[in-house]
Amino acid sequence: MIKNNAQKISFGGLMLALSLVFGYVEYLLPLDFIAPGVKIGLANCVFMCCTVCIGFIPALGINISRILLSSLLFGSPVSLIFSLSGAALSMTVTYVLCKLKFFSLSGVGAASGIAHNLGQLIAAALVTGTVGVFLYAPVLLVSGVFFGYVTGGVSQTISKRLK
Amino acid sequence: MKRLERRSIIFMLLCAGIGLIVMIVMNIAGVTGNTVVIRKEGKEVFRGSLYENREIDLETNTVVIKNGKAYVSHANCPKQICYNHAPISKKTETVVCLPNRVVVSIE
Repeated sequence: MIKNNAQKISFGGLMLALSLVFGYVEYLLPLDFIAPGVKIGLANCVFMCCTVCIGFIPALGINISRILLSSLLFGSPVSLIFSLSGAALSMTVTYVLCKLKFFSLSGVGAASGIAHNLGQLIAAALVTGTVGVFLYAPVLLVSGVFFGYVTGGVSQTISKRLK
Repeated sequence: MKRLERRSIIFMLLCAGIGLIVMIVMNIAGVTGNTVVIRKEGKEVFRGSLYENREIDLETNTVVIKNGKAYVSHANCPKQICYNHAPISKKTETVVCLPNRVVVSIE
């Protein structure tokens, strides 16, 4: 469906707007009552669809732009560090797994969900200077892998129709 | 495709299962410690007995040690996650206030 560069660019712009809206939705409906730091990861859904449909580098650009914009719009500059570190690890994992075609998109979503949480924990450990934050890892592991699997499944269904 | 799907779901269930087991084990097998250690911005600012009732004022947060448990009684952070955290006493538990970079742990 996406054949030429013009279509890629407009699709990319649309996806950037969409992931910003998703970021806002997650800001409006936080799942913090389950456990602090639990996220649905809808923006990762957009990232995976972009990776599959228009390529990794455009998706990378869109994701980073989205992180910068949403931290300006409805986050704090402090949250930027955590978002970037989570996304860095998560995007690396997504790239590797998509290249290897080792998992279906659901599995890629699950793995990148864990990677995102791990990246945030590493940032938290560096910011607080304490290794004890990793005691929170099991909670994030369970929520990250579960929501990641669900968003991965959604990405798979959608990207099948967009390709 | 079916093979990749199966791998994905096994991976997810495995990770979730391991996570849940670790959570349960940490909860049950957690050993009650005897020293409260508070770190602010990476530096240790307090080290004291868990069984000595005290109130530690850290400007941004106030940590209270009472009846063998430690908790945060006041904090100026917006989300108040540290304030709402249950009092801790085990070595596997921590109370973290991320905006103020305060970590309360038990050793």
